[in-house]
Amino acid sequence: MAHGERTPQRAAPGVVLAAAVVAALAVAALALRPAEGLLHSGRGPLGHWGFVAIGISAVWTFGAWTAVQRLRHRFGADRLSLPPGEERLREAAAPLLLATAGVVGVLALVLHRFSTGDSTSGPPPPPATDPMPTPTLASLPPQERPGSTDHSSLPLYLVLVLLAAVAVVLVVVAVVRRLRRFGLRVPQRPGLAGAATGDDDARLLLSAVRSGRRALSGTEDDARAAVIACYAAMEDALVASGVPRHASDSPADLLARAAGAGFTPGPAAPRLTALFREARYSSHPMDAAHRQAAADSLEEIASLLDARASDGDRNPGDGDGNQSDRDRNPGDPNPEARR
Amino acid sequence: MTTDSTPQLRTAEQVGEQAGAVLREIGRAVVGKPDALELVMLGVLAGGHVLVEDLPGLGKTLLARSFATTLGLDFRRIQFTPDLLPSDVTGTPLYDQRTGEMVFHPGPVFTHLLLADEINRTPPKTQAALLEAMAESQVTVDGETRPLADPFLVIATANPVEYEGTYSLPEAQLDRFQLRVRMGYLTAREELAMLRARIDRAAPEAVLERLAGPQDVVAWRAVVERVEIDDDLLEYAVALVAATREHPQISIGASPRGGLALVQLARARAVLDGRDYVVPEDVKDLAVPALAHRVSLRPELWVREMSTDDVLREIVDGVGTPTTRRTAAVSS
Repeated sequence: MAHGERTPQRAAPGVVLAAAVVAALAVAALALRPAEGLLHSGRGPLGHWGFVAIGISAVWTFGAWTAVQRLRHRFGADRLSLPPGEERLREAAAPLLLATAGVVGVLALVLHRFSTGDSTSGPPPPPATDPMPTPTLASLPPQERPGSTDHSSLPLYLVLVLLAAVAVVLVVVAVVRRLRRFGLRVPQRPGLAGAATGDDDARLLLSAVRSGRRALSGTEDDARAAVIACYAAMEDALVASGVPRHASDSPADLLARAAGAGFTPGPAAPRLTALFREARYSSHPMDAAHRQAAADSLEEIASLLDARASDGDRNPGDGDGNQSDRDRNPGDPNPEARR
Repeated sequence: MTTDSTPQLRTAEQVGEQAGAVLREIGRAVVGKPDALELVMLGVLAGGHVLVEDLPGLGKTLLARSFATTLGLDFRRIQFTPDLLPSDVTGTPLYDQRTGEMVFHPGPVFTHLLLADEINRTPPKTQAALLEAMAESQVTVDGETRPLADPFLVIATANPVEYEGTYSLPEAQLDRFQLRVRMGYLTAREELAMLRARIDRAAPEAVLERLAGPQDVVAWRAVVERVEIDDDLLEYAVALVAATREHPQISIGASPRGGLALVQLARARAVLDGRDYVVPEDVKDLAVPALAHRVSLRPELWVREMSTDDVLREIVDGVGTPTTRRTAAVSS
């Protein structure tokens, strides 16, 4: 089936890849000491310059990130055709491999022995003439061994702390992304959430309704446009109140979402929605009666919002009223009765 | 209600009331399935054929028989079996010894409402015999074309879980069904009410009243044809159909016939609601029953037991509805 398949991305030319690999090997050879053994702790001509190590780490991390972005589609495409056992193995191996590639860059930077400048610039110290017996190499502490630069490298605990911090950040990012994928919202601070449902919302709602009134007065000759303007004002008011609006929402979806969010503007909202549907999707003649009915519905919604705003002024900082009342008077089993 | 001599003068509101009364009457027999009943009624109004797909014992046959009774339609039933022949469906010419001529004996397809029970139990050859009848309301036997009754409605049932000795309906035939209905199990409370009603009436099935006739159904369909639909809603329907063709989990998207069915069902829903214009909810709510049986998932999703309904719901949630403001000005 041709349609629905992903268009393959154009791969980099082989010459470019070969040149990049050769360049990377050359830099690595110059940064290390190619004439020595693999485990030799010395450095090559470029190994003295810290910016080379930083640059290599940055390039490596960027390259690993780019590879992750490119390979993600392949991992995602292949997963549907795997049996459950291999699928679980893939789920464990894929992030491990991809994350390890990035961690190598970080480790290369962290474990690099940055030069302090004084240990390599001067000539080597003269041999000791002390009659004291020369200690053997094995008996010296590491920081006193010839050629050792451990005093300039990062301590192990700092490396571990950095790695732990990176791991924590990765876990947090993964959790947040998973929550968003399942449509869940990251919990907000209580103070901010309470403020968002208080007086500010009521003012936003009222401003939306007022804009609807202005639109209504500007469309005196066009009843259809006036009805639609009233509904648009109500829609804006609901969105301003925090009711989420999706592109795929129908008017009924928006009303249901508003009811789910605890915003119940009475029978005016369904009435205005019905008028809007007729004005928007039918060719029925719309007259002053429709316009008046829409305006009345909008006024009814506005009065409800006014009442809500008044309640908010009387109970400042009261998110939903009930909880604050209970907090102020925990012995009262029915705080609503006092209103 | 059943004899209106001026069907052309009926309004959408009147038809909505009549169809609603029929649904309430059928609801006495088919308990707890208002959504499924409404979908079948939409098929009746839109002039399409309905595929009822669900497990055995959920009332599929009862539903079809109840519609036939309440709508006053001539009713026939075919129990599809592996040895059923096409002529068993369409009819066959037989030699009349008295006249010495071949006389056509019409098959069960010559009726108003045909219940094709367990349609996936018969081979494709016999299934195909139903194709022409469903698509063109006529059958051709021995080179002679015979029109079917008007209205002609097929309610087919299929069992989606038993694959032994069954023949899956080909896409071409699935596409002939205007919508697919799933019954689903009753809730515990509804099942209790059903048992109580059975005990109280002291009879296997409720006796339903006839509330309409074939001419009423024809008149209702004429009203559906007068329902208007805004261009923005047509674009919305096209966007939904197009999304099925571009979805990565779907190998074969919905056909243009699917778009036609969706729009026609949306118009029928408007009439059932007493409106003569379509609103976004009509299109959105019917996208799954109108399109889900017309698409094929990629094979790997079959293993995961993902249904086309799930994928279609995802598509519906992703396609934007028309904006609040009109894109084209319409005078008052």
